[in-house]
Amino acid sequence: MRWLLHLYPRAWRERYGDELLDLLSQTGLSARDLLDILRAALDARLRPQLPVLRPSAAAGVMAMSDERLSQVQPLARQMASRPHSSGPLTRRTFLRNTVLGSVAVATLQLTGGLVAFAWPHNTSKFGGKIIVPRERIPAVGAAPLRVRDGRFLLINNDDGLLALYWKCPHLGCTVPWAADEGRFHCPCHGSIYDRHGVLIKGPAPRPMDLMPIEPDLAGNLIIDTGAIQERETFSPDQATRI
Amino acid sequence: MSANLSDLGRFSEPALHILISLAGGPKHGYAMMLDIGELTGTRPGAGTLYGALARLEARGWITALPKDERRRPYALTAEGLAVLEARLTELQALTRSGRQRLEATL
Repeated sequence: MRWLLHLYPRAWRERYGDELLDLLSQTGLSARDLLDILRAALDARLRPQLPVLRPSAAAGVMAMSDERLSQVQPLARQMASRPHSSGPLTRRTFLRNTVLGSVAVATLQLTGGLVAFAWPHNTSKFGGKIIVPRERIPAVGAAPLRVRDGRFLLINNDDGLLALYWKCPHLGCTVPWAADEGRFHCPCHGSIYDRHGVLIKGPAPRPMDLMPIEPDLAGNLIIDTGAIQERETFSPDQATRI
Repeated sequence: MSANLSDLGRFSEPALHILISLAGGPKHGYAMMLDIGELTGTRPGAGTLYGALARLEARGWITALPKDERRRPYALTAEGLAVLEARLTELQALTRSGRQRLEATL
């Protein structure tokens, strides 16, 4: 882990490096710690904070021991002879800043790209939440509302509303509402489902799948098309009353 | 040099925690980290801890003691004690105002 210390400016490293390493050997180095160190090292380079020799402050608690003095004096001399932040730019410093700068830029680009890639967009299409305005909610007993973007059929029964995922659980065909029959009828293999999406007959292994419905304060419905639920049968608690 | 903890920017809170931790007696880095974890519920990262520690030492608010085997303990200085005292008084006033307003709205 010693390489990590090279992120810090030399004077800082010489003063605190061993302690930091000792600390890290106790705690281990998680990704979060690593990021924390990167930030702190950058900070130590941009705003160097090295102990200024101020005997009056140190004497506030105890007189400086000889050992402490012997540790501090060489450091003070070294800092005086090689001013770190305001001195001329040395070749070493320049190269290190260049390398660290490129690493920082590359890391930022990578992180930015990953975040942008993973950021959910199109959240109002299938897979996200879709709002059905209250005036479009079908009446009880009426034909279901077909919501193309959400791939579901919203149907209103005596016991409440259901948002039925239109994909047939048999082999995945789109199940249409058959207005003349008053039920859902899959054109591919003839599975027939009632107004609750429950299989009346046909090869499908289970009822049509459901999407959760949540009414908002204005009475509109929010359908979560990303949380499709399978079920074995219909029970009244699956329906949403408004 | 300034005499105000809030000048330390994002390090001012960890710095306050260090001062509070050292008010209970000298400690080395790891002991501080554990102590602060107990006090606040979150352990500071090693980088943050030493960033704050370097600032406190540069201002003379804490001082390094002779190494105890491999580890170096730090202690509060008289100046650091005064800074801590001032900050805690500020926080107390803030807490009091907050409480009063909270009670007025309840």
